[in-house]
Order: sequence, then structure tokens, then C-alpha cells
Amino acid sequence: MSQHVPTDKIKHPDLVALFQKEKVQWESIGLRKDRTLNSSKGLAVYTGEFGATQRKHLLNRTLIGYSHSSYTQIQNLSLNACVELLLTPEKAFDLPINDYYLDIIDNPDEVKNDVARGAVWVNATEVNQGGARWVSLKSWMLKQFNLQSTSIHWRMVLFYNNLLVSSIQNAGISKNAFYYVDTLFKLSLGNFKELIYQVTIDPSMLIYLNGNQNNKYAPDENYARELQELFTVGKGPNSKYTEKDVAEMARLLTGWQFDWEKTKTTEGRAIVKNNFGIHDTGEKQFSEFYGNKKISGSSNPDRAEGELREAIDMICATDEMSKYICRRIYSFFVNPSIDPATEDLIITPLAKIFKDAKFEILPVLRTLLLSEHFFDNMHMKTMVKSPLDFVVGLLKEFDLPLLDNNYKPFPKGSDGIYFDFKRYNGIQNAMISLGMNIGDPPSVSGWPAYYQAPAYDLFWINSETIIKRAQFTDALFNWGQGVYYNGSTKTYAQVRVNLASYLRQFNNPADLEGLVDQLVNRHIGMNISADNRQLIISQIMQGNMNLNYWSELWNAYVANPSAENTSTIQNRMAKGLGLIYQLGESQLF
Amino acid sequence: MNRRNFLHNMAHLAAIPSFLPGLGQLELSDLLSSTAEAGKILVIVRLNGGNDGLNTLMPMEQYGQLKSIRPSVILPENKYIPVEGTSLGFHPSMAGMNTLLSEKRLAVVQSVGYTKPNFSHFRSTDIWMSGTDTDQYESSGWMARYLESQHPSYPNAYPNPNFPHPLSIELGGESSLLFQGQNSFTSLIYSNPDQFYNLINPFVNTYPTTIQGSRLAYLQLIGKQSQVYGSVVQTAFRSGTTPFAFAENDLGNQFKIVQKLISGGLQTRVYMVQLTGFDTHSKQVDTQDSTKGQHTYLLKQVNDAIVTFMKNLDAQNLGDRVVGVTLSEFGRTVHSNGSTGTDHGTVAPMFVFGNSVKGGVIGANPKIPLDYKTSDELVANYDFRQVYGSLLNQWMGNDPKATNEVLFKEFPKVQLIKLFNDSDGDGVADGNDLCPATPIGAVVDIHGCEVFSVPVNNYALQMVATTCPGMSNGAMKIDFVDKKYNYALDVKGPSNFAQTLKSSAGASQLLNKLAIGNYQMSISIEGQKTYLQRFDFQIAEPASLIVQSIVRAESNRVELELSGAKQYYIQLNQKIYEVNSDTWSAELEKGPNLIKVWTDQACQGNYYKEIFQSEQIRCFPNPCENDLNIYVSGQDREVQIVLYHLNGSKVVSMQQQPDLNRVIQLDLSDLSAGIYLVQVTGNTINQQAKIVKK
Repeated sequence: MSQHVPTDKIKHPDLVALFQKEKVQWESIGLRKDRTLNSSKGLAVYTGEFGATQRKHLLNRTLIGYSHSSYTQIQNLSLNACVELLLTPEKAFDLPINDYYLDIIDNPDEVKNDVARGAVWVNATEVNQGGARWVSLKSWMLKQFNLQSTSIHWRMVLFYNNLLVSSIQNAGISKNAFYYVDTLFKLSLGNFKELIYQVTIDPSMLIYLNGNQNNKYAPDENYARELQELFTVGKGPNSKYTEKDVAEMARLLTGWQFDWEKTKTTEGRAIVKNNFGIHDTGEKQFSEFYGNKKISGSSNPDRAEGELREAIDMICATDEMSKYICRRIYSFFVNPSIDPATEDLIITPLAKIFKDAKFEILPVLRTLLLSEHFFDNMHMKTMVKSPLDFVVGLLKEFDLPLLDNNYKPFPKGSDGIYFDFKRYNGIQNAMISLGMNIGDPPSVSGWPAYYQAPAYDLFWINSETIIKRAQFTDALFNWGQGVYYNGSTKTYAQVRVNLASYLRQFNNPADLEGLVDQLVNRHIGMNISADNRQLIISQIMQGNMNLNYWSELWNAYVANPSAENTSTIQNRMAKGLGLIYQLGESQLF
Repeated sequence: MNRRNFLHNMAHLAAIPSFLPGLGQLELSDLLSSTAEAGKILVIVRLNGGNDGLNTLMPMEQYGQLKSIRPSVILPENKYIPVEGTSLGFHPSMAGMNTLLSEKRLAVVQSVGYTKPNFSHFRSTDIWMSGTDTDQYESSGWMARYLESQHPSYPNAYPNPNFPHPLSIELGGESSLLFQGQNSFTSLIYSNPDQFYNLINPFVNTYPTTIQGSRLAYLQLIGKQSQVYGSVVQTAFRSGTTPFAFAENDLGNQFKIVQKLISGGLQTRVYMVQLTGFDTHSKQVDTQDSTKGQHTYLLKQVNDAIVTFMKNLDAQNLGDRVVGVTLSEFGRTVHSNGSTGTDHGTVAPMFVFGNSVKGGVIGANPKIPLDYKTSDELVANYDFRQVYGSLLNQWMGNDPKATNEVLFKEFPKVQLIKLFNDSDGDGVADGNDLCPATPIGAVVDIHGCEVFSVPVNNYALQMVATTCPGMSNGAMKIDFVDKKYNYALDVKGPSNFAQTLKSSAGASQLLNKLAIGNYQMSISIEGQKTYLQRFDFQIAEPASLIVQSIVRAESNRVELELSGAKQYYIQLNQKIYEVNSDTWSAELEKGPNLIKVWTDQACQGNYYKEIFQSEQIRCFPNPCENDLNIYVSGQDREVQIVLYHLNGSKVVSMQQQPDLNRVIQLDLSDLSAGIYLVQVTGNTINQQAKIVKK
């Protein structure tokens, strides 16, 4: 009955601590703590060249590791058409199912009470003791990221998961965790005001920030504080809400609850309502920052919702709220650091658009993504890929079917859905060791890479994670990345790239120099030094031998894709691609 | 060798409790090879492209026939250097190698290759590097399999105090299949400064002051800092010396680095250097003078580098520790082609050099068929894996059975290394063995003396208490299985934490007052100077306090479910309870009940819950005409009664005192007919009821 979940079982590196250990001298990397590098271009619609570089930039920043098919889809579209395509919502998704059934097989009670294999669990009663469903939910999210269409939708879910942070692992009741993601999905391209309202009374949020315990006798300020400090008006110099505002907001939010036990034991979504007996019905008086707004209480139980709506209106009426959200959007999509000039040039007008649109987010995104500021060259390939961008990018680029010990297709038998789950789960676990645990930002502030100046995206990389990234790609190209291991049956499953068959899609792979240029273009998308290009070629050739040997090998493989030819290509190209992924340029997007 | 099940890259799957020993996890075999400080070193010299074995070492008794078969590349008969006691002649560039042979410091294994030879550079290289049959496709190298079998926990627990240095180092830029293991690369590569895995080269790219430039500069910086072996290799390189200068050429420069690393004290046991250009299809020799040309140039590099290397080692008294071996993916055709070159062939000699080598020529000279046709190929007398296996057993000291696993089967051995007497079979020759009668199977040091060791599972570490940030309440318990020793525990941790504990006769120890952070604990044993076991552990924050409360209306009780600690403090109204289980229950009082739960650790947080147990009301008659009676249970002397319209508006509000029968009578005759809500509140009551006024 305990809601403890074994989060301590997976080692999650502390990126901030590891970063501090590196003792980086800012000057040595051309940065200063007191200086930012910002474009002087504005929000006017971009009219310059819209070629491969610009298209890739657009995909890089709006998708999660774009697939080559997304690139070909937009290859011939106009800028306007590209942006409209990207702003199109995803179709409804398939709900998470019981794909974890073999993981709970040792617990017959759980099996008996759980939904059937392959059945949707998001409305079922809570039965898993070991957190099988939230593991399944994380893998399901990774799958949605991987299968996303050419739409910004899931990246916006990620944006809001990082901004309006709740926790999957601490939600305790797995269906509540799912509905948190569902709420973000449904509203991430919609109205921010409605999103804030829904998130405020979201059951996982009520647990994460103690709303469920907030009562008039001992008001809990946790949510009231984060609502203002992190979710809406922020801590900028012009955000002048007071401690009293926090206390008053806490009073206003008293009583929003759901019944933990009943939610666990009955089917359907948690019922959140205001428990009026513990709601503070007095008047709430806010500070000058909120226009000295008074929100009256009432002994009418229906009034609690009205109070909450009024409070959100009050927050949204401040200019600071729109500016804060636009700053977060800007940092997430364009450039993490913002100087005063950018504040005037970009943030202020974007905030006005946001406010004029009554807090619909699409007009903001549209303006930003069409702007000459967004397409300024100085923003291209300037952010370090998050583990998610890095791993999903690889997932999308390479067909990574599940393989057995001998690199043969893994025999899934009748357990196809289980092993598909394990494949995503294994990759998700590898991502955790790179420093990112889907659905569980390390704190209510989100991932430090998205908010903490001046390092920002540099936080993703330290001596530990840089090696792990290289080991991950080396494993994919060479010995295989393990994703599943059953100790009692000694069954092992892994993913690995079949490089010979992968290379077939390129233009004339027999020409090694041309092939390397295509690979660099595909995997790095920017120029690399001539020395590095030569090094990639000599890694593949294992010395400065005649390039014709590669052509002969490739032609022999095309004529006869035998084990010998396949293996010979794998052994060479693994070194070349491994090196491509050891160049710093490959870590940027 | 079927280790794959266990060796694959499972690190990401494994659940890693935060207090598992990290660097301390060593196996017996690791301890065995930790005698490597003054241990044996193998240098592999790769001749890339397929070396022409016949011109390198000519069977002079067949010179006349060869002159007609390979007229455009063969050297004049009198230019070959006669090899004493044989009918062979060394290429004139190989004078130094001939001297080594006469000094019995060079072994020549003739006609090495494999059955069903493959003539593709790539495939044949893979066969030589992976150490497989011609039709066996393996994506790991034989040397890597050997190294991984010696170091099963590599790379996760490396470097560590026993193995502070890289297992192997490759020079020449490309990473070879030879060192690609079944779950890691076992070598460091001396290559390009732009890469993560760069080494030795202090060169730093400068990037422009742009957002992108700052990112690339940062990635380069971290790439360098991530080199766990970087500084140790650089230190060895800088302190190493070369009394005799190496020639300034490709192979000379690589040997110079190896020389400096070895003399600088690096404990790495395997090196590979390489020279490219042996694929001499054309202009193998100068058309005017066959003693000159590409092949001469390459062989001279090989000869000079090896001779200088040996001279340096001897001068530094390191000559007995190092053995080198040359290899190439194949030999070349017996016949020459029309471009003063030779094409891909089959066999070639391998050279094994070093003071410990059993010098001499092994095997018969290659025999050219009398009716030679260009389709003829020389047949291998020795499989290349015979040389590998012999070196692993005789030089690296590998267990012969383990060698068979590395090479997938057993191959007949060739005696390449000088035999020495070793009466206790510990791998240390009697002449050097300070302990000539160690028991069979004992782990010995370089002097052949038994090394004291205790299995790592002799220690059980248990985190008994976590701590809050800023507090120092964490505790770790250490139990010892073997009680016959006196242990000393030296613990270092955050903020210069340092503590030493003594455990006499294996008495359990408790380390307490620990703050959050990572700790290193070194365990030593009294009287055993060479023994040290290290553990890394972490003291973490406690889990959050989580409490769920359930009110049982029928029994008027509250049940709490607690998690996050072992002991809880629960305050219900005025009483405080100490609770040691994860469930608790108590009877509620009427009216407000305040519950507070906390633990010893402030950062686990507090739990507050207010439960209002209300008395009951009953309204009768309902529907009513004029008078409404409200029965109020309990003892409240005064209650507040409020009547609402269903539209929410308040109709009337009043203070009332129940009579002796606990009944309050209200006259509703002024109210219009309809549905009303009655709310009764008091010290112990908060109830609503719907009534209908006729």
C-alpha cells in the first residue's frame, strides 16, 4: 500500500554537481558570466535563403531529433508551409497498455488484478506494487517522441513538462501520471490560461506540490509559491509579487483534493474537487503587483473554482506573465541567454502577441519560427543536444530492431508487445545514465540545462556523460547496446546498427569520399575540418590505402550481401561513424 | 569463448545501489596481473598492406628460379645478407635484424598464414585482428578478448589503484579491430585532438567567440578532461627518455613514444605501432636499382626502429621486459607483375624480437613449385594463431585453457620465448624467484612471493542511516566475515572528512555522523603491508516522508500509512506517539482533529492533516410546513445555523442553543415554498441537510 517507488535503483547522474567538478574557466571557452551573445535581428518574417541549413535548423529546434523522412517531407515546402505543418497537432495517440506483463509475472495477485495483457490501463485501479506502469508510461513517452510526425506538438509537451513540472515517479498512482501527460498533450498547442488551470488541479500536481494537503488550518504554500515563481510570472526583476501574495494564494488554493484511496481502488479518472470544509472562505488580498486585487471568498462551495479562475485571470493580467512565458519559449527554442536588447527586440513584442491572443500559444510560436531572428546564422548548431535529442535522433536515424546475442532478430514469440516495451525501456534506461529521465525532471525547476545561467545546455556534458555518449554510439555501431537481460533464462537482447544495409540509402556508397561527405552532412550537418574528414576516411580504410579497395568491397557487397561482406563493411564503417560521433560538432543542434 | 552473455554492455541495465563498492570490485585474476608494474610488455608492429615476405627474407637456394618468376622486383643476388647457418638472405635494409638473429634475440617464424586465404585487405586484416578462421565473422579482436578476460570489470571500474594505467595503447591514428572487445574498446588511441579519446597531444583548437564556438570549445575541454588516463600517460611520456635517437619517420616516431612511455613507468602491457604502404602493386622497387624503392624504404624504417628500440631498452635495463612481433595481413605473390610490383599473396614470415626470445629460424624455407604458375600460392606452414597463442602463454603468462578460449580453439604451440626453470610453477623463473616454493595456485608478486589477498565479499557494507543536507546524521555499518584479522578503515569524504576506525578481530564497525556525499574507504589488514581494498560509497538524502490517511467512518478511526523512515512521530491533537511500523491507527475525537507526522530527519518534511469528525443532525419533519425541528447530536451548547437557497444566497443565519433533547425548533412560516440547505456548524459539528418547505 506504500506509494514508494524504487527510483533509487537507477543511477541518475547529478549534472550540476558533475559540471561544477569540471571547474570550467568561462574565458577559456570564450564566454563570460556577465556577457551574452545575442542576435540583433528582429521578429520580421525571414526572407533570406531557405535552404538545407535553415530547414534542418527548423526541424532540429521543433522536433525531437528529426528523422530523415521529416526532412524530405519539408524539402520543397515554403517557409510558411513548413511552419504551418510544424504547428499542426498530432493525431490522438494509442493509450498506454499492459505491455509490462512479464515483469510482474512473479506476483500472481498483481497479474490477477491487473488489466489483461495488451489492454489499456489508464482508467484501471492501481495494482502494481513495483511501479510497472510508470516504467511502461516512460517507455510509452519515448515511443511517442520517436514516432512523432513533423509537428512541434511533442516538443511542446516536453517544454511544458519542463516548465510546469510534476513527476511521474512520485505521482504514486500511475493513471494520475498518465493524465498529467495527457493534459499537457491536449493543451500544449492551446490556451495557456486553461493549461494553468488544469495543471493546478491536476492530481499528480496536487501530490507533487502538496496541494492535496493544503487546508485552511495549516495552509501549504508549496504550490502557491511555484505557481508564481516558476510557472507564471517568474523571478525576473519586474516580477514583484510578495510573500503575502504567496500566502494569500495558498489560502485561495485550500481544499482542492482528490481521494487518494478511492482513486486507487475505483476505475476511472481521479475526481478532483474542492473539499469546502477545509477551504478558506475569507477574502484574499493581493499586492500592488497584482493591482491590489481582492478576491472574495464565499461560503458557497461552488465559489472555490471561481476564486481559482479569478486568480489565474489576475496573474495573466500582469505583463510579466506573458514576458516570462515568452522568455522560456525563447530560451527553449532559440538561445538560452537573453540580453536587454533581446528583451526589447523579441520578448516584449512576443509577449504582446501572447496577451492579444488571449494566451493562445500558437501565434507566439508562429511569429518566432517565421522570424529572421530565429534564422540568424548565429543560432544554428549552437545548443548541446539533450540526451533526449541525442538518443531519439539516433533512434530515428537508424532502424534499431531488437537483436539476440548473435545479432539475429530477437525471437519475440507471442510476446511482441512486451519486447517492444523492453526495447524502449532499455534505451530509456541508457538515457537516464546520460542525465535525463523522461517525465521526471530533477526538481520543480525542471532540467538545469533549460534554466540555469550561464551554463545552460553545457550542463548536459561533463567528463562522465561525454564518455557515456561515445560509448552509446560505439555500442550501437560495434558490439551492440544491451536493452534486456533475463538472468534466470540468460536471455539477452540488444540493439545494433547493421551498417552495410544502412549505407544502401546513400548516393553511390562505392565512392568513399562522397559517402563520408554525405554521412557528415546527415549526422553533423555542418562543415568539419579537412583534418577530421581525412581522419574519418583513414579510420574506415585503416590506413592510407587505395580508396578503390572500399569501392571493391562495396560492389562485392551489393552483388552478394554475404556474411563476409556485411561483416567487413561493419568493421570499417563502425570506426568512421564512431569517430563522427566523437567530434564535438555532432553534439550540437 | 562464449563470455558474451556476461560481458556485454549491461551497465545501463544493471540496478546500481548507490553504495555498491565501485573501485573495490576486483577479481582474483586482476590481482594476479597487478604484478605488472615491472611486468612483461608486448609490442605489436603492424605492417599494413601485405608485406613481401620473399624479398624480405629470400630463400637463396631458390634464387635462380625466383629470379625468373619475379624478375622485376628481385634484388641482385649479392645484395642479400646471408643469414648464418641457413640458406636465407635478409633484405639489405634488414642488417640490424640479421644481427639480432645472430645474437639470438630474434625469432623468425617462416611461412605464416591460414588456410583458405582471403586476398581482400579488409577481410584478411579482420581475420588476423579478430583471430578467426577464414569463414568466421567476429567483431572483436583477439587481444581485446584476452584483455577483457583478464579484466572482466573493464571499463567500469577502471582506472583503479591496481590498474592505474591503460590496458593497451595504439599508435598511428586508427583504432584497430585488434583492441575492440565484446563490450568496450580496450585500447587508447593516440590520434586527433578534436576527438574525445585523444591522448598525449597537447594541441588545442581555438574557436571563435560565438555561441557555437563556445560550445565547441567546451566540448573540446571536457573531451580532454574526460581522459581518465590522460594525465598519467602524459606524465609517463614526459618523464620517459630515449638515450639513442629514433629516426624521424612515421614508425620511428611511434616507437619513440612507446619507448618514452615504457621508460617513463607506464604499466601498460600491450602496444601497437603501425606502418602503412606495404601494398606494393607498383614501383615496389626502383626500375633502375631494385635495392631502392618503396619496399626498401619501408623495411629500413622497420629495421631502424626495432634496432634503436632494442638499444634503448638495453641501455635502460628494460630489455628483458619487452617482446615485439611483426604481422601483416598477407604476403605477396611469388611472381612480379608488369608494374615492378607484386600482388596480394598468402604467407610471409613473422619476426619476434626481444632479449627473452628464443632466437633462431623456425620452420622450413618456403618452397616454390618447380612448375610455378601465376595461379600458384604458397602454403602456410604455421597458422598465425599458433604465434598468438604461444605469445599469450609463454610471454604474457596466460593460462593455456584461457588462451584456447581467446582463440576459439587450441593451436599447437611454437617455442618463441626462452625456457626457464620454474619449480613452483608460479610463472617466475627460479633465478628470480625469492620464494621458490609457493603453493600451487597462489597469487604471487613479481618476485614470485605469495601476495596476501582476501575476497572482496569478506566485507559487507550497509547504509544504516541517511542524512539531511546540512546535517551529519548518515551512518554506514561495516561487517567482516573473516574474524581472524585486525582491520583498519581509512575513510575520506566530503569537506575534508577523514576518519580512521580499527576493528580488532573483525568486530563490526559503525561509521556515523556522515554528511551527504561520496566517500572512499580503504581497508587494510594489520601485518599485511601490500594489501588494500577500496570501496566507494555514497550517503544520500532520505526519501520524502509520505503519509496517506484513511478515515473509517463506521469505526470513527483514522488509519495512517507511512513510508520514508523506520521511526515516525505522530501527534494527534494533544498526544504524541512514537511509531515503529508503517501503519498506525487511532480513534478520532468529535470536532477538529489535527494530525502531524514527522521523523528524526527534518528534510523528510512534515505531514499535516486536519480531520473534522462532525456530530450529526437530523431534520424533521421533512418536508415541513411551518416548524422545522433540527436534532443536533453531541454536546455543543451553541451552534450556528444558516439557511441557504439552492441558488447559493443566504436566507438566514442565527445562533441557537439546543434544548435538553438536543432539538432546535425553527419557525419557517415566512419562507416561500422550495428547497433549502440547512448548515449547522459548531465546535464539533459541520453538517448540511436539504429540506423541503411546502
